[in-house]
Amino acid sequence: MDQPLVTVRDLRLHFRTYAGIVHALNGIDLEIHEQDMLGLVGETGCGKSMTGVCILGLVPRGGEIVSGSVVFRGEELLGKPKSYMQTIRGAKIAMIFQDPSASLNPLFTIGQQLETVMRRHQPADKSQMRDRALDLLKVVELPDPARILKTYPHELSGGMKQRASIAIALSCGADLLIADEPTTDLDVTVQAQILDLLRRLRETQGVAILMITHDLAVVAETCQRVAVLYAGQVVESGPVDEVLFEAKHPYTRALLQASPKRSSRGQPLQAIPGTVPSGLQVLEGCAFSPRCPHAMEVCVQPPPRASVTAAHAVYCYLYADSEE
Amino acid sequence: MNGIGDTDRARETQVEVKNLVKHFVQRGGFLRRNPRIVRAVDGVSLKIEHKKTLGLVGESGCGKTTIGRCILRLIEPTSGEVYFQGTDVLGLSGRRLRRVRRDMQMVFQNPFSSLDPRMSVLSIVGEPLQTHTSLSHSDVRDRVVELLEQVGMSGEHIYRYPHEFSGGQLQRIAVARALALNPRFLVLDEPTAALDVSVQAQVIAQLMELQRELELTYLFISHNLTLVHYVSDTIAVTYLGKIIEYAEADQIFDNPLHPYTQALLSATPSLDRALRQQRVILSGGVPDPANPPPGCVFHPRCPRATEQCTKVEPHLVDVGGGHLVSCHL
Repeated sequence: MDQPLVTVRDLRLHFRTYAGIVHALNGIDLEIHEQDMLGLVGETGCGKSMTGVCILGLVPRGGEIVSGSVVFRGEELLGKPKSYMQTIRGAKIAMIFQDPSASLNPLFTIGQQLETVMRRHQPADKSQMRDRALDLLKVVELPDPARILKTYPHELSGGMKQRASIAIALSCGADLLIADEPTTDLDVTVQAQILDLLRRLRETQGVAILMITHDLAVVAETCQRVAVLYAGQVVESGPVDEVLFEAKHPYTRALLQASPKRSSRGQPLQAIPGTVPSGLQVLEGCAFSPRCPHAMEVCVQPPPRASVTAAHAVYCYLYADSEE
Repeated sequence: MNGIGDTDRARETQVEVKNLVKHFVQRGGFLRRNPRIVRAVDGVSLKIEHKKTLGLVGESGCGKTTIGRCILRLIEPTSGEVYFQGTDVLGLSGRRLRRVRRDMQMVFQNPFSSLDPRMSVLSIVGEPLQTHTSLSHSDVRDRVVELLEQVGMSGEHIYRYPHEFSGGQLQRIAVARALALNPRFLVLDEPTAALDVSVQAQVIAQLMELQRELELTYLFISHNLTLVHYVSDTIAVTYLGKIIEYAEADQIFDNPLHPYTQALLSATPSLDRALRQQRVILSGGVPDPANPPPGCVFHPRCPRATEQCTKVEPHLVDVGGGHLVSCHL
């Protein structure tokens, strides 16, 4: 296979707090291919948003990338100076956030906000930028683009605001779009519209999408590949059909059994006993082993990577012998 | 469960709502001269049987929370009737209203904001006991410990404060508080919307077990259709302050009749492989409830709207087997 668009290797992120060092990411491995749609799923605090933010080089204050690498088109991004990262962010890699009313500036019109990004990365004269802005609003299927350019965020509905922020993210021809819970705040009928739009943008605009979400069903509907995160580690990754319908890792299985499904009515939902580890403890072995029904003595050591199929990997001792 | 008396009680209607209306007046314009009337709830009728769960689903702004709050009289409805075990709740006041309120409790969506951060678990769960009963301090404490154990938590937590707990634990505390006075009926307003799926599974399992044990009646409000289907016996689908379809939970899923219910079902992402079918994607969003469209409120977004739909408002009709739908088709 050709070289991936983004390769993340052994990414570790720590936060220094008064309570001690919080291990937010404990060795994340990911590959995103050109025009890929990769889902990153996990529960609150598993590090899915932090992974997205680290790819962009936007580590929050107090955080420190201890080790690892993020390679974008053959080029290492970690350790690059701020000024260089600014030429990547927005132009090559762009991000959309959960709450568009917080990510859009309420004091500027949608047109002005689009123009700001374009002027930064691809300066052109006013009329050219305006034409480009109109095109972008058409791409994200907003009705009456000329009017939308002059509106302020508060005049638009949640779904329209999210479309506008997608337009801004696409304005400089990004190759990778990091979508952090892009539909969590939206109603289901509007969510379906936005997911449908993202799916089509992948085809028409040739953009790869990293879809960060807590909702397995969203991943099942939109992504080709998925990585399941637990306590800052990837526990299982591979094609959606294999990972979600032939799940191997005990955590992925438990997560699927805890999700209500239409076919599971009348059967009790399987709760996962225990709670997520706090991140303050140093994890020696498999992070899920204290809650795992199949935990063995060997699980106190770091779990090995086992290949189920060529593309489907699981980090668990249960499947370790299939490695040979 | 044996004897004729029990079966009769099982069929008994616990809560009945007739033609409930709640209009909010928004004042705006110069000297507030242009009041806008938001029709949050516009003529809703429903019935919940003893020990059953009615699921109320709809998108944001469809009035589902307002319906729940009106039933408990946390807000005063504009008009309509609410009966609880045959008593007209809206006609009550003072002491008699307080007596009924002991039997009707609510669990709110976000436990981080519904529980006072400055109160210990003992005062949070014990507060309703202090208001409504004359139990001594030590009796209150014993009851609180018992309640916490009932929701699957350890009694040793009573001197802790909300910030020391996770979201799932807080929601259990909120449930314990709601159960303190042995209510008969609970309004659960998006009780798991703020929780992760694995924790949601714990809370839902707990709620269903409590319902069996304590013979509770639930009104379960949620925007999550799959979840509502999972917990409910009957489902009411709301759109813009109106109920547009009302049926047995399986009926709604297997045989949705209203185009909105159909669209909602097809828009819901699903983990069932067989269900990943061609979806109906609706255009636009929910209209402004202050200015609802004439005729059928859904017609501007309906893929099958006809001339008639833009003019005549449909009413809920029984199409057989207690399956009610409000649509001209």
